[in-house]
Amino acid sequence: MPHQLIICEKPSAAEKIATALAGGRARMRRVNGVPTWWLERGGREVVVASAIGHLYTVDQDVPGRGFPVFSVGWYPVPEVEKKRRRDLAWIGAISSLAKDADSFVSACDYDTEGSLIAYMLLKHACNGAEGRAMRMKFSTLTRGDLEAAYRGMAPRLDFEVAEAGKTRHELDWIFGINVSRALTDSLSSSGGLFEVLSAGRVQSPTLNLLYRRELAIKLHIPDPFWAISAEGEFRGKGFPVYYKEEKFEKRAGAEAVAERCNGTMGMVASAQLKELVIPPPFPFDLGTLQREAYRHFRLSPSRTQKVAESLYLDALISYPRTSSQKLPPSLGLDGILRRLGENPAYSDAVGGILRDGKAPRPREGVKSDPAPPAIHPSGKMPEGRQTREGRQVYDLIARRFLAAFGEPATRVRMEATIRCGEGDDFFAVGEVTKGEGWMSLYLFARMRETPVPEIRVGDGVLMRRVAVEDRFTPPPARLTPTKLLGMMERNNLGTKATRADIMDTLYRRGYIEGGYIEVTDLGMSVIRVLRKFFPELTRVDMTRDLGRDMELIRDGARSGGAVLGEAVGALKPIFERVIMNYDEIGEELSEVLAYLREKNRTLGQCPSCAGGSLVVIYSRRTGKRFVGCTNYSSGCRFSRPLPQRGKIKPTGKKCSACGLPVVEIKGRGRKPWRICIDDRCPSKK
Amino acid sequence: MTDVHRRSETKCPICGRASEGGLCKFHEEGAKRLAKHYEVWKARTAVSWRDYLESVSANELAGDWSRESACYLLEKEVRGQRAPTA
Repeated sequence: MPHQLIICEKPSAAEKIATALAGGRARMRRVNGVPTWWLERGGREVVVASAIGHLYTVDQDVPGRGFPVFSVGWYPVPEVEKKRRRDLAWIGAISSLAKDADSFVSACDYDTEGSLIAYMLLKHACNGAEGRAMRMKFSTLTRGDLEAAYRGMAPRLDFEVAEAGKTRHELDWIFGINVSRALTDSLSSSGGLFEVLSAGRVQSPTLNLLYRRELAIKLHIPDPFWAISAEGEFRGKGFPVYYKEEKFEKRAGAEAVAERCNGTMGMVASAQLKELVIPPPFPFDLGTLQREAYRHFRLSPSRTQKVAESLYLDALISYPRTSSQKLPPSLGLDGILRRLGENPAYSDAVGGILRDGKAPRPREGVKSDPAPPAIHPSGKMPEGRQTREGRQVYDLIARRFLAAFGEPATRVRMEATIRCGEGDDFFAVGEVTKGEGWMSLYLFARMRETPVPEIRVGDGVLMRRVAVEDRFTPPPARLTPTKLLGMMERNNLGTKATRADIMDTLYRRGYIEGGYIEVTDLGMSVIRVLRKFFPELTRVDMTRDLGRDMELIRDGARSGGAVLGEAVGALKPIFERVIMNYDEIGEELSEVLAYLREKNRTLGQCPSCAGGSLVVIYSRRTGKRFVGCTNYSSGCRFSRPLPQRGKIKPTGKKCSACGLPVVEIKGRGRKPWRICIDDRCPSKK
Repeated sequence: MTDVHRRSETKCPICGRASEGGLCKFHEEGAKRLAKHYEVWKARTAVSWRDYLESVSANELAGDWSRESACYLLEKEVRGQRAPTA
């Protein structure tokens, strides 16, 4: 008997969907060794099968390692990536089930990646069923949402969304493979040491933005200036005041002010109290959630995304990969709030929001997404033990959701001018909370309370301290991962789903490091070569324009083929130029990499001889590594044994006990640790 | 390991990167900016070139390359060589 075949993105989602549609009675059966779920619905058999993410991927159409390559096709992942041979079982299961199916449904996540996964499986594994498949759309994996999505499924696939995803993957592949081959092959052909170097379509402009910032930091020269630091006193209470001029270019000017005003009585020339209304925050889109999770819990953006996806698969929250800040009424917000109120942690808050069981309209932002709404709790009570990170992110989401329904908060701001003598004006500014409003619901909101005494016009204020401070102009601040996310978003680099991964890739490739991001020597070298030989690819505008084109494809206003054709047309002359400069690129990369290799193995000055450097040496005879001196051939015999496992990195620091260099050792999956190179160092006893 | 062909045979005396005689591009830029910013320092503090280099090389807000260039130029000053101009 023919059945309906429903395709999901992940096995856990497939199980949830099957259980919901079966009213709790779905049977698990293995097909081709992979789990599938079978149920009866409305008198017919329904089978819910699953992918494990993308099972089809882009690869070149022609064999060989030619460069440049622009002709691509889509192939099963196991054919392209040998490590994923086992994924054939999942494709095989869906192919086998498709033979007896008379109806097909995509129940993958409603975004470009999910739509593309389903489209490829239906087209290739289900023998061209994409033209007659239907589409379920849901934002949470709760039974109610899934039931409603099944009953109201769209009569066709979201082809435009899938095409946008397909075009993006193809462009990323064309860009990435060609730039990687240009860098790696030119390096090999120059006789240089082999190294795999790569740069992605969005990574390159992101790295370029970081590189420009790194240059500004490393080349910063602080200029001196002077400022007034002052404190006033009114009825025995001290408070900070600020001089009208923020900086002085001559110390004498600041000193003159301090001399005139220190210890004198100033008079309040103006005083204003303003009431500020702080509206509730918008509900979370992914970027804002990642920023808040970093700010409060120091969770990296990619970690926050993974935790949120896990909460979604547990049906605790809505689909997290969204740029929307909107909560449409069709979500049944009253019901979500009522269910959330059954959780003791939120019952008081919900009680304060609902009036006769009804909630007011929440505050919404301007950002919208065609598919998922803003991230919100489903109302389902968390069951069993959650991880600490899961609890933290869930609580953040739940409280932000509640706050969107809250009352505005009010703050009182006092601004006063205190005049000393003829023209030395100081300003006092203070702000305190008057009414908490939504801030009592979103406990993570922290506003500084800076009270100032209630001074009025005509009051006397003692300038109890007016002093000169030496200051220097600071360099640009290093970015944290969330600040980098914000910068990528502002420059339209990447998508909500890909930004965290792009950042992770830059870290993994060794192009950037640290919680306060620093571009490494390797990153600087790669981007300098890209800037010199492929400057167009490092600029934000090319990637940004392509990002806009993706949105137009998704809206049906442009075709993927046309966008791809234009992009290839723009890339061809760039890569042809590379071929003409192969030797120069290779030489430049060789030089840089040789310098980096030398730098990474040089630990410091030799304590035994003048002029020698201590380096890491690998013995051909024993296969072991040790520290030796570069003056060995001139007679210096300084040496020390080294641990044989883990990657060794010089730290530039000296041991406080013996003065020899300290190195950092990083083993796979372990935290790095530092040791003095001297195995006889007193610090090791 | 085979030797790598180098386009230039000179190395930056500060960091060892390849250079085309003298400092590498990064430290050369650092030295240029030092000369340029000295005009600002001189106007605001009447500091000597040597004292300026000492201040920058000890200032934590100065970038790594600027500080390294300042130390290098200071050593040259101490050895009695001429300071560069902006």
